[in-house]
Amino acid sequence: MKFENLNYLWGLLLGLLPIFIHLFNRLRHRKLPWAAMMFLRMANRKSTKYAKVRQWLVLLFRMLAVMALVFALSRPSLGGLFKGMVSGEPEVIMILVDRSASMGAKIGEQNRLERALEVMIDSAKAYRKGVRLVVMEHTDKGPREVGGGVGALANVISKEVTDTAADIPGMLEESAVWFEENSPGIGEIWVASDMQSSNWNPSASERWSKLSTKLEGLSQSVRVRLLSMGEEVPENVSVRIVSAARQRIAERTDLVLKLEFGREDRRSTEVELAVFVEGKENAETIELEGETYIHEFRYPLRKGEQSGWGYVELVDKEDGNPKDNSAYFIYGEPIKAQTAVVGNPELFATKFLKLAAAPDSSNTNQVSKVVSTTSLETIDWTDYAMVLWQGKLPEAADAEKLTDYVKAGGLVVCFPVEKDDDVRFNGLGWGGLKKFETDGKEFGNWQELVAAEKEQEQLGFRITSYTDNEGPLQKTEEGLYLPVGDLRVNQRKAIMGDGAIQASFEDGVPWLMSKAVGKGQVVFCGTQPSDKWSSLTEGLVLVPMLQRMLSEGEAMMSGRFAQGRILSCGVDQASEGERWVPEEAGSNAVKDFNSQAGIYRMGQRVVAVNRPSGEDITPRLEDGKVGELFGEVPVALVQDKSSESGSGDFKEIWQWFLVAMALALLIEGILILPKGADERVEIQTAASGKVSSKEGA
Amino acid sequence: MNESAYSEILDGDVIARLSGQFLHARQPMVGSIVGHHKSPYRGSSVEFAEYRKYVAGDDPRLLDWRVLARTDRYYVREFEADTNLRCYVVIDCSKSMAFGQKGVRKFDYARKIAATLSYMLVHQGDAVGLEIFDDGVAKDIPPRRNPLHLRYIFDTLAAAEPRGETGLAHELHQFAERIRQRAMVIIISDCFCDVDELLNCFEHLHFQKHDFALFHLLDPLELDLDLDRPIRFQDMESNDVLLAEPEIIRDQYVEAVQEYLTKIHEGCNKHNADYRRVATNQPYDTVIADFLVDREQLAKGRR
Repeated sequence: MKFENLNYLWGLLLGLLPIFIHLFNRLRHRKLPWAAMMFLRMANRKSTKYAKVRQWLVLLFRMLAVMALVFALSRPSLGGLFKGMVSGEPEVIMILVDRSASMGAKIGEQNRLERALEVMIDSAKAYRKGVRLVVMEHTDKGPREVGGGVGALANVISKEVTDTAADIPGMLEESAVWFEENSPGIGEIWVASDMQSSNWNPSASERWSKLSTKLEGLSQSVRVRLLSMGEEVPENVSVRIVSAARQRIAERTDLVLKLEFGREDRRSTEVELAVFVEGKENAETIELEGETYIHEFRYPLRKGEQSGWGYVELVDKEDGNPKDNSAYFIYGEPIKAQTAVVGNPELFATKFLKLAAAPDSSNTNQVSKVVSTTSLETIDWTDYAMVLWQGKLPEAADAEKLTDYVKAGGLVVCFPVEKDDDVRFNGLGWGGLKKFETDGKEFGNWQELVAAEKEQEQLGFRITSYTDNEGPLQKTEEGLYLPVGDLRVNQRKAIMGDGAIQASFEDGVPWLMSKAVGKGQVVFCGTQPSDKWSSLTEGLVLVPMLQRMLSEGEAMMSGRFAQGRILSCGVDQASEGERWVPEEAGSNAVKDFNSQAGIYRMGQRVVAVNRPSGEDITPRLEDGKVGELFGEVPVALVQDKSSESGSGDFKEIWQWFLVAMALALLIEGILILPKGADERVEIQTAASGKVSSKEGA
Repeated sequence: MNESAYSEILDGDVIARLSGQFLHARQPMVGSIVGHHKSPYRGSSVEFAEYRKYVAGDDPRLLDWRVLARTDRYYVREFEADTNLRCYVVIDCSKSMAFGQKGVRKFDYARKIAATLSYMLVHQGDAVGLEIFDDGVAKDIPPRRNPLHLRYIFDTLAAAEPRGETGLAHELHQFAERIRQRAMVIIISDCFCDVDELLNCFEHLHFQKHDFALFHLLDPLELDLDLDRPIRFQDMESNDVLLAEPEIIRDQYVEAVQEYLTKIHEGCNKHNADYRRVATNQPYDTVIADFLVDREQLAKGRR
């Protein structure tokens, strides 16, 4: 609660006025000789019960009326997480903790995360003891209930800021699922965030719409309390790697390191930084101008050095956020888009696929490799941007390993084989083999089909519908269609299972079907690139189709853990069992690959992990925009008290105090109301003879 | 005592207005001489009482010859006896009787009633005595019926002043024991004492077959406690002090007074006392007139 006219609160002392008047009135008494003392004593004894309580109540309500008036004049506003206490106490408080890198920004002695936790824990203490507390940090996979009450919160929530980005809508979605599954009573979701736009992803309007609909549709009332920690940190400078590449000039090889500096202050300033290359520190000083500033550094590399890594650190003890002061890089040979073709190396189809995946022998960045089905156990799929599976579908451990690859963003394209089986891979499989026949005649290959065709006739299974505006069969950049309709398919296998149909035959049987699995994709093609099967061997359709798939695999960061990658912390999660050792901090250092930036090594592979670019100084979500994102879900936006900005979601409540004053006066009036004629005891001043019934009663 | 002192306790106009009225006793009185009040004994008045069989020793002159001639039986005619009455006016002279806020002082009011009734009684040939009680017997004047005695009563009344605590109950018991013969007793008091003890006295008086009346004097302020500011009440008899806010305790006070008055009234009815509650802002002549009229109607009803 805050007050517009704080000084007016001194007026609360006026609340003592009724007491002073009362005491003064008592002192003002006069002396009166009295005869009927026996009745006075009796009345005085009786009046100690109700009448005196009533008198004190009158005094109390007079005081309350004066104090309520003073409160109203001081214009109080109610806000903060306490606001919830006046609108029905929740049964469950879901605390969502954003531990992203930007939460490391300093607020005085604390950082944003520490401050947010302190405010939330303090606020939670104000609620009743039995309230259920559920916590979800952005690095958690789901909410977890905290036993032991508010006191346990501080021990359960980590105060360590990570180098990752928070997915606030994702956390809210998990919360909604938790509320749906557990169906508690009234719930509140507390979010402490620095309102970084990248974490809130406001452009995903459809996602937010679904989220707000889900929250509104919950059987219980759920409201959101948002502690905004988004005050500016003008003294903060961030650094990130734009590129790190080797450049050969005559006999010398240089490392060309391009860095981007970001800050909130536009004024020109000088920063010092230390660049570590090949284990050697290079001290640099540059002058920054504008909000973002890109600077290129060159460092000569040792002769014969093919690859290496290094990092950059800003040297500024007063920097607003220590978490964005370092960036890691790795350099070496250009990254290659590798394709693995799994199948019998002797088969034509396998050879053809290998060629189609890397058709240009002069493009050394695009290579394909045939992997024998016998060497599947030792292969690391994460080195490949795409896997072409030409053979019996994988089973058991092979299938599991390949599925992990797909879930992590990999792309697998499966082609059918002659032999029928019931094997399924991620829900997709092959139906029976069907050969084209006309007038009871079958054909040996697609060339025979073409030969048998008459004028204006096309034999074989015809592909009549396909998606030409997106996907692997889309039109070329020049607007030309792929000759999908001209394909001659002599034999095919139906694709079993559910997925997105990219192309289908005349009879509705799908020819090309894709299915999203995790971050990756599985694609099934209904025919094989061999003469016996189809005219895919012509390459007019298959080559562009595979090239596009390869590009998509690259875009999906398939094979991102390959040697020499620069990864985003938290986005590129290590799989279970993978042990990444921090390289730059020494072999004994303990760092978490999934949440901390650094140089990591696993076996022969070395990767650089940096915080996501969105965690650097990026636009913050405007307060007004938050309400729009949540739709009809009640949201109370609360500014942290250390913030200097405006009144936030504080609501003036002086009217309440006026109502309270009126109520106090009304009750006081009722208490001092003289008794009605019917209630009042009156004594006849004169009486004689027999006692009347009225008098005797 | 000069005339001006009398004028404070006796109003000539009131006397003039009440001169046509007569104070009747509610029951037969035992007097020493012939008077206007009924006697429990048979006498020689003209008012026939009853026939009674002649017994040996009766005066033969009292035989009713006509009845003897008609029935050949001996009957004696008896007539009512008329006698005078002896009236004791008892005044409470405790300090509480000095209270008077909205009207006159209760004691002044009591003196006027006492003086007026004394005057009337003497003038109708009855004897009047005066008892003034405070915490003991302040004055005891036996009943006489001569005008000089009346003057003595007036002087006594005029000279009396309230003092001390109320000893009414105790003194009434003593008084009831002292006067054995039937008499009229008029008590004028605020009765601020223990009700049960007071009612015991009334029972005692009733047992002695006295015709007694109680003029219960109360100041209107004592009835309604119509005060506002906090007041330091000082007991007029004991000087005890009590600080109270009339606004807070008024209801309880009025209830207590009401309870007390009802109890006294019922007690008086039970012991055949003639109860008269009088607020001191009432004209005392009206109070006396009502008293006389009620008694006269009662006397007529008996006849």
